[in-house]
Amino acid sequence: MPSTAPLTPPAAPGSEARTESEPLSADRERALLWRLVDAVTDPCFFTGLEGRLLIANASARQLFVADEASNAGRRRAVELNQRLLDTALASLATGGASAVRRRDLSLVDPVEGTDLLFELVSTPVQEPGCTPGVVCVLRNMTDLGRATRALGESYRRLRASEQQARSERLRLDLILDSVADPILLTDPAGGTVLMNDPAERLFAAPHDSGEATRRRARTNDAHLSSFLSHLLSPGNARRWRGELPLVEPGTGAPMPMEAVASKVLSDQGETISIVTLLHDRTEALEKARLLEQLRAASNKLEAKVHAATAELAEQNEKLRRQAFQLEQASAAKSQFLANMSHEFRTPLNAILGYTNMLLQGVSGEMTPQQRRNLQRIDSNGRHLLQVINEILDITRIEAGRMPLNAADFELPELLQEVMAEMDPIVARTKLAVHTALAPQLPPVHGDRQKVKQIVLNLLSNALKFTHEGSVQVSADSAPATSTVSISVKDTGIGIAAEHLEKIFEDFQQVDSSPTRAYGGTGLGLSICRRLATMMGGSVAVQSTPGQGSTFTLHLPRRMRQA
Amino acid sequence: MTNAQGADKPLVLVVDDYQDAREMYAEYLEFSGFRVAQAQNGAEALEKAFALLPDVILMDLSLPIIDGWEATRRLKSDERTRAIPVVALTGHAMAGQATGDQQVSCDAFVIKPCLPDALVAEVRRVLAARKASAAR
Repeated sequence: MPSTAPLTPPAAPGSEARTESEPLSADRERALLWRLVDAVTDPCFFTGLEGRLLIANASARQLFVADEASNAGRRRAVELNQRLLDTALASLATGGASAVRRRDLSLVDPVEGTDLLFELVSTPVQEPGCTPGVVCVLRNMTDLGRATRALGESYRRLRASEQQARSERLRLDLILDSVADPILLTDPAGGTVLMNDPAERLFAAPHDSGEATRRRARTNDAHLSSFLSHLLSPGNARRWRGELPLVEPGTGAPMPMEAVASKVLSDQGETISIVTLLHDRTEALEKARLLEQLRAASNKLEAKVHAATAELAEQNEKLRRQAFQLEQASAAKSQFLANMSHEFRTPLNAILGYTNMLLQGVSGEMTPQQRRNLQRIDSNGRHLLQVINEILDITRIEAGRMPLNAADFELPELLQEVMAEMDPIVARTKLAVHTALAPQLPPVHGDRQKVKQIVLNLLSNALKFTHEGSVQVSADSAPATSTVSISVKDTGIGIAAEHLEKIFEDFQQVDSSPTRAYGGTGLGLSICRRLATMMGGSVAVQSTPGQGSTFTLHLPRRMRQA
Repeated sequence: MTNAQGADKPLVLVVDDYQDAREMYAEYLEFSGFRVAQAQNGAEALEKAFALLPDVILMDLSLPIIDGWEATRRLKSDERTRAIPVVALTGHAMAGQATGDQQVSCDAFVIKPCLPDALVAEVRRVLAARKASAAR
């Protein structure tokens, strides 16, 4: 739309001042009108019926008119505004019958390039003598629209945050209620602002519950109030910890609670509210109680162990004393037996000595009867001496005072001596007694006297318990084990299996009755076994009742003292 | 108590506090051809030994006043009696285990009961050994 002369005000008619009283000329009036129109800040303009802009004030020209000097941006903006105005006017023309019409019109600020919102108020002019057209006024609505939009936005945000707050509150409630421990929020006046379900169960009994339940809830509440008073009175600590003796309102069961209350402070340091957390101590107390019981039991046990240990020590001490006394008693017994044996020997020495002298004819010849009687005294005396000697041997072995004298000796010589000593006794039997020596018997290192004593004992036993048949004394060696053995084998009465060990015990014979058929102390085999053990050897027996026995002395070739 | 039938017969001093045993041995020794002197305790034994200087002494070890061990020790530490052999007689088989010092002081040990003939055999053995060592 090309701009035309009428759009612009006529050149200033002159600056000459006019007074009010002077009548205005037509030109001056026109100029004044133009100035008036231009002074209106809202864009005003008059268009022809076809939409051509005929008169426009300065604001309108700003929007719709561009001259050659204008830049490309402004020209495009003006062109756009013109087109938008045409469209608006066209829609207004086809509008209703109403004279004044209003509608919104969005335009572009050609200078700034920003959007502008106007209300277009158009009034058709159809008066005779006048060019028909439309008078339009644009009222700038830009700021208003902006404010409206901002308001809408604020409102939307408000709604959203309200929504969010609501959902957060809901979530918080869910969280609080899902916490098993009671939680309370109290205002600075002590009024409860909020509590979760567990707290509600403790402090707020439902109205339909029984009187007892409500009373207990009130008691709980009283406990809580007195607890919170520590924080509510001004100037106190920010946190308070304590124990509340609460009860389960429904049942009255004790629910000891540990409570921690904390002040929530504002930026200015004022107490906004108090958060109280309660923790059920029942389980902890139960655990502590069990622990205490356990500790008590443990202490009791320890005390018992101490007592038992002390008693044991005492028993030990007693035993030690007893052992010592026993040892002393044993030593006393040994001493007694040694003394007794001395007391026995002294008279026996005289008996045997005088008998011996009489038998030798020191006091002259005797009748055969006297001689036989003296021989009986002599043999009985010798037997008594043997008994005394055996008791003494046992006593010495038991007292550990049986000395061993080690020396090298040959078994054949030893057996020869034994046979020679036993010859008088053998002669009185009808037994065939012989020896069987293995070839190349090694020399033995040991106590010859003790070995001889053992063999003598075994042989005299064999002779005593064998009525017919034979007795064989044999010697052998086992180089592999470095041992030698001397066996005495008889064809005597034998020993039943159940008695085989018993015969080695002190004072034991198979027949221990006073009317037994065989003499002897019953100490012989016991001494034999003990002596053999002392020399590191042993005495073994094999026997078949009615057929005979074999006693074997095993000895190490070189004695090691046991 | 002394029986001096001939100076060629060896003199035996029998020391024992038990009269029966002492007289028994004395009788048998005399029967076997010895001269015999007797003492019934350690003090008397020392007195007789220094006075008579016997050829051999039969010493019971358990004696009153001075015991056989001590009497033997004194005899062996005296020039006059050192060479006289001492045959110790003991009924205490358990006490018969003499310590080294005591053992060397006696020339022989005889454990009671000891038959008179066995004792005389021992006395003869000791005297023969003494004679042999004196001849050397």
